[in-house]
Amino acid sequence: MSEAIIRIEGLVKAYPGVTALKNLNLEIPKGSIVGLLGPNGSGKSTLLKLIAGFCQPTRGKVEVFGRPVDRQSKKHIAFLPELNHFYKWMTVKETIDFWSQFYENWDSEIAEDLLGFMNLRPEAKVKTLSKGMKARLKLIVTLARKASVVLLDEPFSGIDPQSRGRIMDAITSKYDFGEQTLIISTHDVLEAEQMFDKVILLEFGDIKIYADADELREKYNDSIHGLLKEVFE
Amino acid sequence: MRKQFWALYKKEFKESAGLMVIYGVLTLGWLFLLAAQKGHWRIELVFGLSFIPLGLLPFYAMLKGFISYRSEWKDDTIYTLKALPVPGWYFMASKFLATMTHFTILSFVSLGGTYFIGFKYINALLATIPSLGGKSWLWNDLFLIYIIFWLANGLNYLICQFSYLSSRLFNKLTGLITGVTFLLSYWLLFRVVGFISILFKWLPDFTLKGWSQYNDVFYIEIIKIETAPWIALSILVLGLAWVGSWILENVLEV
Repeated sequence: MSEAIIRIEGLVKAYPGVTALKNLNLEIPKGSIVGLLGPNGSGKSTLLKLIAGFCQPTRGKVEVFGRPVDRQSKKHIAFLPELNHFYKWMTVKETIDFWSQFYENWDSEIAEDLLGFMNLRPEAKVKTLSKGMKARLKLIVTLARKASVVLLDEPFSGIDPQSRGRIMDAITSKYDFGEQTLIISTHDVLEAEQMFDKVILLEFGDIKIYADADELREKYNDSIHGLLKEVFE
Repeated sequence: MRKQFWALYKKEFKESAGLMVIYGVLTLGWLFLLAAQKGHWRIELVFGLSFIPLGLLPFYAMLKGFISYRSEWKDDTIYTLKALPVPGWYFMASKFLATMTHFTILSFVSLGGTYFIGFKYINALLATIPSLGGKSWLWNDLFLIYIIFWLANGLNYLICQFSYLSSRLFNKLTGLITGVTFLLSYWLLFRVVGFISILFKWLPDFTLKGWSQYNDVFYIEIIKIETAPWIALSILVLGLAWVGSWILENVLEV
């Protein structure tokens, strides 16, 4: 097994009145594609935000590259949030240019490629883009960086099938196998499950299952999607 | 690093440019209206009213101080800021510089208009007080007053920004907490500034020339402006701003 790029020990994240994550212990190996699955409110987004350094643990620790997440780690972690986090007054090109200024691992060729592939007009204002278009733009900004850790929070949420297809194709074509570690949180398991090396099932802030995707399929003689239905219904 | 700061500055400048243009257009509209009334209204009145846009500029800077981060949370763009691998003070400084660039442009537009409207009146006024010896003192004084005006508004902007960031530490009543933090910051600053300014007593003070009139005789008055409290206040406010930036980078969550 390859080295762990993300190490989580005794992680607790509590908000007023609710504990989002309860004593999580987890090691994610370098170069793996991990499906982060679970129902709404299970703590998927919170876990991704903790790995990205967008919030701090209440207890326990999150380490990426063997050190706590800080400003330096952000250079190597690309996080795609579920929300639209772009400036609405910027154009697509301005958005891409703005982000490119901040990362040494930004690859302009990939950004150009993806821009064409995703069928986005560079001069279009972000505020005029549909939800699917914004999702495509989010993916360009995330994948144009050759980040060691890529975190995708619900990249297919509320998006039309055409955009989903494009997003899936973009992920598979630009993902650097063996080098990048990819964690995808999604409800649309059918769409993405062929990619997963590992699967984390979260429920009520706890890890219900953390295993190799193939082992799970073999063990339960079912797809991950089928397994999910069995577990949560 | 310079490239990243410049990118943030450009972003901030463009983002608020609309508000600056609106303020600028309203200022020019007001000044043109006054210029058109010069023959009809008393010149003292027209001249006095021409200062209104400049007088309202501190509210512009204050508003920007409170809303610059608020809009990042409201529009979810705080996710962008949290993703960028730059120190928190980059955000504070880029927002500050962009706002103060707008402030400077708008104040020059306003002052230029006031001068255009009132230069005859100013000259006539100066001619009646020959004992002050020409006009060069006036420009020196105006320059110094402008620097103090700019600095006071810049510091106030940073206190507003700090107050809002502090309020984000709480989940509820952020508006109220912003207001309370703003007042408490001033209370604390004015209590501490006296102690810190002792360290800067050795700095030379500035003087402004004023005049008063008694029985048709003009008297020159020298107004002393102490440098030490301003330096002490600036250091303290920069300290608060740094704390706010640290909170943004290390404590505040999304």
